[in-house]
Amino acid sequence: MTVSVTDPPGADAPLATGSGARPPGRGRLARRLRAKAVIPVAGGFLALLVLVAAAAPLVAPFDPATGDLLHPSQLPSGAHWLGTDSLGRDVLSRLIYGARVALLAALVAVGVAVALGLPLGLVLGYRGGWADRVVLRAAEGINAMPFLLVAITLIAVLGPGLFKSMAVVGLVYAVMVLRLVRGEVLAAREELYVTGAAVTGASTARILWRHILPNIAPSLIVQVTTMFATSIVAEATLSYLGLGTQPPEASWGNMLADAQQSAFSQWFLAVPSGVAILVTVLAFNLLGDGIRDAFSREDTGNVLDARGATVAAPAREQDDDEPAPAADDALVVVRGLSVSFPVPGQRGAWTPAVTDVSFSIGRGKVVGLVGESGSGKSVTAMALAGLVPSPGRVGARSITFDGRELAGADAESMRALRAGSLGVVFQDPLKALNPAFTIGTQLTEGLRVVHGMSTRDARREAVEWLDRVRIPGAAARLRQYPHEFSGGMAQRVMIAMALSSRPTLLIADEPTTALDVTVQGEILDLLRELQAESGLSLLIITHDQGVVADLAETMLVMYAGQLVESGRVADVLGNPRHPYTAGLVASVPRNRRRTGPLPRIGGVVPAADEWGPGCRFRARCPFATDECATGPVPLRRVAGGSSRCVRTGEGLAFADPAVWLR
Amino acid sequence: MTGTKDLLEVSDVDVTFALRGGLPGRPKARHQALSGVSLSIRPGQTVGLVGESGSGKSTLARVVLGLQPCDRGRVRLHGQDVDVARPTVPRSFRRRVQAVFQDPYGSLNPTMTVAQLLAEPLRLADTLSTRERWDRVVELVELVGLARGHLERYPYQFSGGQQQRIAIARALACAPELIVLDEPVSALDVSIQSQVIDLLEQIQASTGVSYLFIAHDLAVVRHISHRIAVMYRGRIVEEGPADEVCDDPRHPYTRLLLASILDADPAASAGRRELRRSLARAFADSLGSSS
Repeated sequence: MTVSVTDPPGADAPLATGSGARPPGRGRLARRLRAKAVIPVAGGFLALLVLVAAAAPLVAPFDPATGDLLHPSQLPSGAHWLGTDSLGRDVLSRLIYGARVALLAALVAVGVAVALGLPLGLVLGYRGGWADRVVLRAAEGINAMPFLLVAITLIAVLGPGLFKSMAVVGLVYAVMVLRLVRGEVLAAREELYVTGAAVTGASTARILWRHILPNIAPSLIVQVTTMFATSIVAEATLSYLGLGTQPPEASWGNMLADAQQSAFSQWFLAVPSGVAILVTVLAFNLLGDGIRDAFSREDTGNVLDARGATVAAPAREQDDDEPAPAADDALVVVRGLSVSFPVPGQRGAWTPAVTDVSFSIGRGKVVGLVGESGSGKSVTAMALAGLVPSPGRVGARSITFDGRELAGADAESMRALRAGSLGVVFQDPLKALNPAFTIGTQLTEGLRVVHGMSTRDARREAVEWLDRVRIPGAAARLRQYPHEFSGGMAQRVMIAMALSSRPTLLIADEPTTALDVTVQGEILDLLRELQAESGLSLLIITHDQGVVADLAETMLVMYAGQLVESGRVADVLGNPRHPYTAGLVASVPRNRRRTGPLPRIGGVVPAADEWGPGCRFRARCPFATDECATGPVPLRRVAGGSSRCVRTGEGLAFADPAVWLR
Repeated sequence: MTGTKDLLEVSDVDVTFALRGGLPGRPKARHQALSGVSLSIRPGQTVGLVGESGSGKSTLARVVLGLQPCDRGRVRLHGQDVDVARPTVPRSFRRRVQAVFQDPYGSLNPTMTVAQLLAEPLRLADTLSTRERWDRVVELVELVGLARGHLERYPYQFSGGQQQRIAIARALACAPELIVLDEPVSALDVSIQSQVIDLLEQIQASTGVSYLFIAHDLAVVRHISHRIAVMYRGRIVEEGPADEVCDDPRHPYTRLLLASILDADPAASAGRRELRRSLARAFADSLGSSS
């Protein structure tokens, strides 16, 4: 299941105000890299290793090849910190020279792999065609064989030797790089910015080098880093087998081989080289993991760990009027809902997405929730469903659903609520359906697992539901996969799925936004009829006032995390009492002959750090006065609803389109 | 409709796609994306193209951009034939026809700054010195209502509306004669849509650029277009002056599209719903009788 949450905090940059500038992008990666502690630790160790290896002749206390035959197989001592081997050679010195060999060998293998695999992968991935197919089949053949075996066979032909054998390992790795790069390019070449570059007239070489490579670099860097680790193991293995570094030259691999021969007389000999291999490989792998985490986009959160609301202290930001008492038979009553998310890259910093929102939904009523993207409308609904992704923090003074208190409820009872009383329909039905399973499997899953129906009963029920959402040929359709459905049909399936557990509340988050206009009307008709039939309550979230006007009785308008207006749809849209609502209504495109410029709201929704102390809409509001900036504006009750504006009641023509032309 | 004054002339274009699958040795099933499509755009004009998803709007856009080879028909720019059979197109054509896509974030390379994004087409055209190029970049960013201070930022640091401004500035860089706008405002909030449409009109007034404006929302298209073409299943079913098409639609599909526009007036909702349903039935009947 996908859950869309409003834009990550800070996605909306200020328009032309110039103030509140975000840190420029260059600092972003550096900051993220620093935030991960493993990178400095692992990277620092490896840097030290490189330094020591490079300066081996200066650092090593003894010559690695000449032994003191009078003192063989000694345990560590003041003169020989790690002891001596069976030929009396200093183990520490051999370890240091061995590091040199290991790193050089890894460099050769990875260098060959990248030099061959990267350009070939780029070109094959972008061009495709028969060359791609031939090379890919060959690569699959090579990959199917155990790579060390391939390397050993090739070395048997070419003869042993460190560089020769590592070049062979590199050849095998090149196939892995090629496959990775090709796959990434294949995905990247479908990106719009690649099409865009082609339209600008960029050559293929430029598209590959400037547009595709930087975007696939992260996964390539991760792969290369871990490849260093496996190369070091490969070198050690080959040298251990006598195919790599030849004695008397020191290598961690042949040190292990030596140690094995004298394992019974001097057990300690295996420890230094063994630990060296272990720690170095670990460091490379940790570095790779760290880099991957640093590159991966902002933590998108995990709905599996989604939590319900905690009971928040009744601290209130602004002195709102007590909301009108909810009707006795209200299904949902929300009081003081707040949601915040951690600021990426800044430990302990939280940015609010929703602040102190209160509303209620009557039994069998349809409520519309509108606002621009970034207003907090989706987060509000997801908080109600207990689906705010895990780093998010949800608090409320009280959320009651059918008389049950949800604030403070544990994840299990929220899950039970979603399984039974609450259904959710998302914006993009084709993304919300699992492409790997048939519609029938997905539709019957809830019925079987949650409601304990037999497979046969569940199927019969599923067919009935597809009939009810007017999908023709329901029985046959159950055996089809999501990609065989058009957007409108898939949305019907989603609605059927949400309704099949007979919820008392259906939350529909932009249910028609991804659909064609002609299909939109059909889906709205369907929702209206099903709602009237079953008497369920419907919370419909949309940025389109047209959808609300078509479907809802009452509506809530959100702006920058706050409720700014509520009331009956006819009142709110016909005679807005908040300038923001009026601006939204004025900017709806209408099918009328055009006489001049189009009404609009200037600027964009401010990010949380730009809200300031006063009214959050003031920077975009044609009616703003000095008073609007002084302090929090309370939500005041007005006839049949509420409005958060100091100028409500002054008789100003908020809705005059001419006001919204500046 | 066709004349020497046309900037772009698409005549009688067919495009078919081979569908995946099919047994070896058997001819693959083919999908006709465009059949006999003709369209012309005059200098300084905007032609709006509407239709549902899968109707062929975006395929036609790709034909006009020289990204999609055609099976039949011809495309002429200033009366000169463009080779429509090959997907590669001379650079001189590229520079004269540019594009803005629906998803502003996806169409901007995330690893490039705004300055780099705007300078790239200029660098490829290779007609300006480094100094002149920088001046042009500054001019472009200000033309679309952003500030010089935005030049060193990356696309992700902007809102959707701002990203679309950057995409428009990039398309304008080499002073093209035609910009293909493929659903440029569909992903934006209504409050931001008008900002972008006004910006596009200002740019047209000052530069004389033509637009092919593709959208699924007829109300939006009407606001910016001089002429409107309606597509359905790979064909243009109606074409004419914008106000004529919207006030006096002749094709049943156009009527259905118009009746599907929701407006923010709850009082009118019920009546409009009835109208839409009866038009949908009429349209379904007309499909039944024609096929």
